[in-house]
Amino acid sequence: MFISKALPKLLLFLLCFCPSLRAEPKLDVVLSNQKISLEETTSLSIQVEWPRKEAQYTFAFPKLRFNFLTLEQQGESQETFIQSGEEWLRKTFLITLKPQGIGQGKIDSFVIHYLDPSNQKGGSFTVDEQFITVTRPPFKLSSLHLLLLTAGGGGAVILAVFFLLWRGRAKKAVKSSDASSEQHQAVNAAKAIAEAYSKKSQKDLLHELSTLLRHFIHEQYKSKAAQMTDQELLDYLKTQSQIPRYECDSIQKMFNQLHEAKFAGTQLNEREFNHLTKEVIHYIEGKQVVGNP
Amino acid sequence: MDVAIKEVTNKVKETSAVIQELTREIGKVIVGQHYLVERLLIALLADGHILIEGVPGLAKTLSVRTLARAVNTKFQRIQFTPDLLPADLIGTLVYSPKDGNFTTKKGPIFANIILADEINRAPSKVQSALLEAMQERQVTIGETTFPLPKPFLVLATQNPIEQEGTYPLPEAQIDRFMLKLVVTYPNKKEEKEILERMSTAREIEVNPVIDPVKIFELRAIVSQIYVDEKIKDYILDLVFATREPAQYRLESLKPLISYGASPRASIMLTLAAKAQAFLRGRGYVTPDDVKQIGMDVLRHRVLITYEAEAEDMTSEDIVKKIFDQIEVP
Repeated sequence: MFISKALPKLLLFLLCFCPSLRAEPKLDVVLSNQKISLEETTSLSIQVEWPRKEAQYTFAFPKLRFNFLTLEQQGESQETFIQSGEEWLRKTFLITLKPQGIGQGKIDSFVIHYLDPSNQKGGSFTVDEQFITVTRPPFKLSSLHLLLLTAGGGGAVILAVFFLLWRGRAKKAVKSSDASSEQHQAVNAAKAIAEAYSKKSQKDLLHELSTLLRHFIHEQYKSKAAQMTDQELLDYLKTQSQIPRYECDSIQKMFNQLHEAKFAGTQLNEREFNHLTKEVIHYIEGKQVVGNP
Repeated sequence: MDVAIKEVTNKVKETSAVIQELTREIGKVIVGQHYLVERLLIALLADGHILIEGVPGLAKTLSVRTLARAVNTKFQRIQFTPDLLPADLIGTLVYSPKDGNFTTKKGPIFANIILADEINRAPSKVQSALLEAMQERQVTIGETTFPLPKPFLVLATQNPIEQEGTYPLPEAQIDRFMLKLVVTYPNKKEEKEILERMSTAREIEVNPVIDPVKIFELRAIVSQIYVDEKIKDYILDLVFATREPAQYRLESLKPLISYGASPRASIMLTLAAKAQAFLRGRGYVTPDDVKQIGMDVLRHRVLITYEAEAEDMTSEDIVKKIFDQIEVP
């Protein structure tokens, strides 16, 4: 009888005066997106939950260290909620991060300290390092159109190259019953441009392709790519920390091939030409071309 | 690569050893100044003349003299002074009392490499005599015209300071120089090397490694170097932008340029770019060649207005803006 009456009091005493017996706050760390493009951001949410009656914890904002990431925004909030008839507290830290360049960003492992000021007892959590893959933003066809229009009359031929690759996709879409008028127009334009393409020499086309590549790099990295020679542009890109080495190598390879064809009359065979064209387009689309021509 | 261009590239590579040897010989005496030495070779290969500007003591004269020694040709140094006369340069008719005839005494200009030291110290009539010879490659003394020896290369120097008592070269005549070089101070490491080499009494021997026949062979290869249509267009765009900047979205330069570059600039830029491609071991010209040599070809051909002078703008600033604006093929 005595034991049954005294038990709740005993438990309450133990909870209040023996903190080691208290339930640890629950930690939940969520990274909104582990793979983002250069234009996007990702958020790291750190949530800690604990029953209100157990303690009144205070938390220090974690000290974070990033690689290839920049802090865009940070904030914290606290809320109360009911769970299984019990009142709980939830502390949330929200950190928004922006990538500095293409490649892999990293949030180093960090510690969150907490303390109950009533009894000066506390503890800490260790959060493991987080990795974020940063890719190139998808290149929009509309902006390409605009770019080509500003680039001058030769732009139409580049569109031809693009359309030759996308023609199949567009035609398929037109055949389907719900094809939009925009796609119809695209196919008509492709036919007209493909005709122009057949009239142009390979050298002219490669010049246009090179112009496209330079304009793309200009848009992407805000360099004066159009006014720079290939070597100047490569030297510039190599000094930019946000541009990974493999990307510079890839650009150099494309430039070398284009260079000889443009200025030394090198005639590429059909396979080499197609491979180079695809390589440029895939680079712009942010894909990797596997294999050799 | 196109078969003909490949053939030229192979020839360029085969003959590059001579150029390397020449550079090595010059390098025995001249420390650093790679820019100057390379431009001297370009002038030699492209058959152009050079105007070198730099403060005293930058090895301008020594570089030219060393080149002449390594090239095994007749070299003449002419110190331009205010009292120099055209006859002192080109020669004159001398009366012989014995037979009562006039005989021709050729002047120091009859050499393969001429160093016209401090060209702006002589009056304009002497400058004109030299510059006419540079263009025509012949000299008339009395009633007889004498062709100048081949190769004929004039390397003139001028000092940008001490302008008192000098005769600045007229714009029309300055255009005859293929390149105008601005020589700057060596860096600390280079100057230490200069100290070590020059502080001893021992004279450094320079061996002749190339003769006029070889120079003509090299020039023949340089002339075969391929220049693509797009490169020609690029060169023309650069030159035309100095004349009609507004057409190249350079409206701000219009009030700053009084005269743009002449058609000779287009020719010289093409020839110099070919020589530059040769030095890089290529049988074809790239935009890099044009850009690297462009400033030296254009800086003395763009004449600025008083407005530009008031704004502290130089012709180099203008040329740089043009290079920054014109799209590279």
